[in-house]
Amino acid sequence: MLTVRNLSKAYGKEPALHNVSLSAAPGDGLIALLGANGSGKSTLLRVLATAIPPDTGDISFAGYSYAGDLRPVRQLIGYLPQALELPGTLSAFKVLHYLARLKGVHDRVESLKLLDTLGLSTLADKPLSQLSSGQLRMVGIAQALIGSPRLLLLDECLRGLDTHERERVIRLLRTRGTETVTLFSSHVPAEVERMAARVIVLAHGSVLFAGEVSALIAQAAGCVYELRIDARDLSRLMQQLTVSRIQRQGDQAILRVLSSCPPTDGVLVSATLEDAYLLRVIGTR
Amino acid sequence: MMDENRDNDNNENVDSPTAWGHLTGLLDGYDVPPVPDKAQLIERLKPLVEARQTVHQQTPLRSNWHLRAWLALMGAQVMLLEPPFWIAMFITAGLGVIIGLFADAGTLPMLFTWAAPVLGAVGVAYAYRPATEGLRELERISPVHPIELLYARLIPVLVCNGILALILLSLIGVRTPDLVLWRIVLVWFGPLLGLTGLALYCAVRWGSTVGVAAPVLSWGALNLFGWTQFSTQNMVVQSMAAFDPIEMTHWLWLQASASNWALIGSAVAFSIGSVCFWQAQRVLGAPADGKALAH
Repeated sequence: MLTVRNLSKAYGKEPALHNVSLSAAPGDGLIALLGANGSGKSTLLRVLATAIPPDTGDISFAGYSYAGDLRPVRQLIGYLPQALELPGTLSAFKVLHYLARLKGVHDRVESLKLLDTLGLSTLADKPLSQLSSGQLRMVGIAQALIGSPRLLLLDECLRGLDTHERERVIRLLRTRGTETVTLFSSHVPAEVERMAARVIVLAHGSVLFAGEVSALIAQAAGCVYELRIDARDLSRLMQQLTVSRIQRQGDQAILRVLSSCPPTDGVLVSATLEDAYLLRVIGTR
Repeated sequence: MMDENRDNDNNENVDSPTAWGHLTGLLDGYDVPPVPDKAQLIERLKPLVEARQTVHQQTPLRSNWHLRAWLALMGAQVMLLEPPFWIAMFITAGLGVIIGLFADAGTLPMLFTWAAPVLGAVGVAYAYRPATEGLRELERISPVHPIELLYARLIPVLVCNGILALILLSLIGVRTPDLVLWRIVLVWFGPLLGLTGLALYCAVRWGSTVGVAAPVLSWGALNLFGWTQFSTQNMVVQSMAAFDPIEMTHWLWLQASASNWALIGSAVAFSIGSVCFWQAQRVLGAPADGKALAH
């Protein structure tokens, strides 16, 4: 069980997290941290990964407090940083095996198995400098999974991956979801809607929503309308309405409008996570 | 003694039937505030209980770590040392042995041994080269304490350098029987640790370029300064240097092995190195934003 209470963190005078509280348990499924760039997602993951200390607040995982000795809790954590620069001259296997040994995993087979699961077995002995950014990201994910961590923290884990790689990673994370608490960050609502069972919406370092993805979507029900307009009116209407998506069709444009009252000629449609997220963060006009 | 008496008094008071009756009366009369939500209260208390479980475990180094664990950790560090490091090490060692065995007199082995502390420092700066910086965040969050990691990374480099230097010193000792070998080893050991500490601190603080430059320049400047001071004051050295440099280096080694000042200088270098090691530990142990974390 991960418990975070009144967590705050600032970089100098710049607040990054403000009074964040949340809890998560194994079996909750994949939990997404959703927010714009600079909303505090990476800072929260870094604090939870014990890379940086919080200014205030209490964190505990599996009975271990972050205020005490961090060694036992670090044994349980797998972490993928947002920017991971691995030594280009070393091979994927060498890096993985090295980090495995730091976690007390001396079995070479686990590193090889992970590389195989992520489709990297043919690249295991290649220097990392010869891998693509997507493949490097996969190596990063593999190192986070070493030692079967019970708290998995992935910062922008799908960034730079192609469709095939994404599928592979999502499938792998889902299978581990029942045994681990998995938090991943993203600023793409569609990605979160596909992957996560629960979502924590962050804005300016504060939690705006924490709960089931379906619950957040349900909050936007009855507030999303599709509106077909003349493309020339687009800029005028954009200033008046909260729009989650625009689709151009010749001289016309189809808008997804977020509104508490139906706009003229608007057709009520079912909400997506993107609509619900924008509704939370921006609100309606 | 007074406290002990007071404790005894208290025990007697509590144990006495009158006091006990008074206490239970107080407890019975105490109005327990209503608990609106038991589950909520348990949730609120859990972190406090969990925090207490780990309070006693704050030790940076595991005293119960056995040799096998250290060897495994060192083995992991050796994995990060790439082939060029080992090639350079073997070439240097090989050259040292060849020079020590086959060079005519003491000059070349002596110069080689003189350079050995710098080689150690370069090795350490290499171990903290920029290529490994990307791993730092992952190392920082690993269950291994940064100080354990530091030792595990330093020891293989220092052992390699130590073996190399001891081979050379032994060869010099064999070929120069009037030399006091243990003193020479001690004289050499201080600068090695001093320069290695300096290299480590500079490498973790400002990068490996500074980590290499600082000990090389310090050692060079120190030797140059020492030489100019020594030779201007010592006519024997001047006359020897003019006629027979080999004889002169031989004489210098003998002086170094007999001089207490050389031992004191070595001890000073050792102390400087220790301070640098300690400072490097602090830099490595600090989290990215500079605030202290319990490890």
